[in-house]
Amino acid sequence: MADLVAAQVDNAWWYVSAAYVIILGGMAGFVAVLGLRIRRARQALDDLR
Amino acid sequence: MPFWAQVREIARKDLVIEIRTAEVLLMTVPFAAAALVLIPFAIGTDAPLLAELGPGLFWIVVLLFGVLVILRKSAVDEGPQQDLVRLLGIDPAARFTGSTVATSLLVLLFEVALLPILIALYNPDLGGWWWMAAVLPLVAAGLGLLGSLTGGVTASLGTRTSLTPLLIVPLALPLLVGATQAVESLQLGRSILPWLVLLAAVDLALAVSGVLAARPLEEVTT
Amino acid sequence: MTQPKARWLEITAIVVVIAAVVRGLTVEADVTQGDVQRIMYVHVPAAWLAFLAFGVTVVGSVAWLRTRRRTWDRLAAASAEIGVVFTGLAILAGMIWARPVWGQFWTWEPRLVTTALLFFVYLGYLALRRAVLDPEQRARRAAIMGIVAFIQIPIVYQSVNWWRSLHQTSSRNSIDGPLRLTLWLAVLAFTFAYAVMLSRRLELARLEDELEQARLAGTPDVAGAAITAPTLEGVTRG
Repeated sequence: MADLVAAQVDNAWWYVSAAYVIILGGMAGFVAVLGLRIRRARQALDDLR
Repeated sequence: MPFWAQVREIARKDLVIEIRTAEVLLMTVPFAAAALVLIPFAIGTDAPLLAELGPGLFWIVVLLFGVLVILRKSAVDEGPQQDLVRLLGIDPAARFTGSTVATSLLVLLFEVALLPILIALYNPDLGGWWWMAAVLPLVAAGLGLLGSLTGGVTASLGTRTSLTPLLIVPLALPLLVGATQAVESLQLGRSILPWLVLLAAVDLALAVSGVLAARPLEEVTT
Repeated sequence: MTQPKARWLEITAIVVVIAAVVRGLTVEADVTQGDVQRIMYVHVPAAWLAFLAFGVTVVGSVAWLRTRRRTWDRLAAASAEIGVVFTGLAILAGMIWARPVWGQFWTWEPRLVTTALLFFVYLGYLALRRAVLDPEQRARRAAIMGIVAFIQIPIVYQSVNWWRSLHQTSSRNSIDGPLRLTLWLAVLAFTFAYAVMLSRRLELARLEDELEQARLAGTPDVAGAAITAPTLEGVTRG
């Protein structure tokens, strides 16, 4: 690993919120997309029957 | 027919087709050589810099352009060819080994053809000559094995030419590391044995997976 | 129409994830790195989940080759997709963490490089699945590719490790006490989230299979299609 550049950074919370938003948002987004795809597949199945 | 005779026949068949089309020697090698000519225009023609980057560039060109050797036409069996090979009762493992041998030999040819061009253009410090006798074949075998494995998985797919490189390149990293670090170790005056062992281990792991996957893969191409 | 069991799993996952996030944001700051270190509580679990997901893919692949049951192939596919998502997220969060701490977005650290390559390997795996239409062939090719890739991963990791040993040594800072507890809570929360995603993704795969079969069964004869009588109950075929 590269050496620690700054032990305590000033805008730490900016980085923290960016990382949390990306990870949690990504997870929520994935689940939402799955839900959407499931709903669409159900719809298509109903249409077929 | 005994196993190794089957292997020899399959490899011979691939090589004969390759000799007829000369795809590797007359198309892929010039293409890669042209790339070696172009690279200095992007990174600068400073002689010491080129000498320093030379070995690394050689291996990256071998790896990336070597994929074209793997994708060559003679590596692909068309439907009737496959049917015939299957009717003859060729062992799937022998087919895998045979086509791997052919591809590896062609990659080796590709490396050997490219090396003088690299030396002429970049004048790199290769730290001696003898290591090539070990490193070049080990890398060629590794690429040949990866090629046969992924080639079997992507056989007869429309997107084969795009998909195969994507499957090969990330898995080829150990080959790149082994090859480049062997040269670098020589320059630093260290032993290259660990890197040869790494390359051999990669080849062995790929060979075992390839032979084991051959039979289930054979069912693919129906 | 989610089943009650799945509903409970989802509620539990949401609660645990919220608890882990709150704890991650409020636990005392790390001594050396300060608040930035809080990124670890989402980065490490995401990376852990990626590896877990790819592990499940291998299990599914091997089981498919042995039993040839569709369920195993669906498990392998579903888990690989989730794994790719988590690998991408872990890499992104890692880069955001690396920027203030190491001064750059990326270093050539073995775990980093291996994770990035994993991302590409499984992107290739998913691309392979998309490229094959026949379900049986898709399962077979994907299973073989999944297993071969998995065998290569430790070698990739080890090769980068050796490569680094020639260049510079890696250091690792350890954590303890309440910080470690927070990390474990986060890992648990993300594992629940994985379970939710997997069950949803499996549900989707099952529906898609059903749809595919229904479409195949419902395909009218090509020549006769034009003169088929109007469909019953006013339902037209899609």
